[in-house]
Amino acid sequence: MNSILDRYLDRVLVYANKSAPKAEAIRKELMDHLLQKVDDLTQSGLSREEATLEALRQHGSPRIIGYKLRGAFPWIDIRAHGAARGVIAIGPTAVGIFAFGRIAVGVVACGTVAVGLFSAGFFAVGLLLAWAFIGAGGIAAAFITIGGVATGYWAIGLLSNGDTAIGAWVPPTGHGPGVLSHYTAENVPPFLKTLEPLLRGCTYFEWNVFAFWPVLILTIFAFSYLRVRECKRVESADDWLIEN
Amino acid sequence: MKLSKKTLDGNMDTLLLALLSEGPSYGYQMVQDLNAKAPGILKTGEGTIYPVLHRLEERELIQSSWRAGETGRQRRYYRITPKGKLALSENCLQWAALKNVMTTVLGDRPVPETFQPITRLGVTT
Repeated sequence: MNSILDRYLDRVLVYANKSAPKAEAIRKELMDHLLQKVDDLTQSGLSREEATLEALRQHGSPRIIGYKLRGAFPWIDIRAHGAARGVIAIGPTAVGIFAFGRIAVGVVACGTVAVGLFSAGFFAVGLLLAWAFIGAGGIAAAFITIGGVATGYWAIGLLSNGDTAIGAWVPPTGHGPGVLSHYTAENVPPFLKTLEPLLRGCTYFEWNVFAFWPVLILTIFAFSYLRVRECKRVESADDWLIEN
Repeated sequence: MKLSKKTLDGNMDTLLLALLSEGPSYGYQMVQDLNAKAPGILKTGEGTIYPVLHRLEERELIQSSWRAGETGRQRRYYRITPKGKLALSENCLQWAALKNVMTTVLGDRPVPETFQPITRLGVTT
């Protein structure tokens, strides 16, 4: 029966991802708990086998316990399941200073859906900067974009630039047929004029090629590699380890 | 009525510090004590007590040491530190203040015998 307990603890420790000495201490402590529980349940009339299974059931999900053992907000939290939380957080959902995931929330967020001060992804909302296919933010560069300063194929913003641009002020750098600007070059307020350098000569596609694409692709590769490595580590520990 | 995870999360530290203020103990014994005093409180599993204990130890509110238990197996015993006692006192004060506020505001409002959560669809379960 101890092999079942060992296997259960293997699963806890795979998710906990602790150093060897710490993992050994956790294993020893939890094993003591489980053996004591099995003894007590056996004394209450259950067979050893039933008692073992009941002890494991009452002890809880290895994934929940394992992930809780990781600590509250570590420097790096990479998870194969659930929500990663850390200074650098990588997981299906990620919350952190630097967050990468299908859903990412952070100061710097990168993901399919990204929300942050600086965000990049398929859908991105960035308080200061958003780069995405569909994006919104203070400065937003996206195929479809809404922002204070918006640049994109379709752009709506206080100051906007794009093939189809709508804005309070669309500088002459916007070339599309759908340009709709409230102000003209003659009456544009000075504060909008001062923001113009952010857009001048800088269409969405140019931002793509020269600035954001290489950085974003490298970031995605790096974080994806770490996440895949974590998934493989979890899977390789036990072929029936992946829980639903 | 079962307490929600949200309600428990912030108070498990205090509960464990309170148990340890009565004397050194180990995980299994603390689970037994908690279950005796508040059945079903560890609803996500008895093992979830250990992450809380380890976190308390990292914050130096408790200390642990290994020694042989009655069974002869090595067992990890925890005891509260002076810093932990201080934290417990502060938490107790906070709790007393909150209890006071809740009692004052809720007054003699009748408490429903059963709690029926409303789902998103508005159907009670």
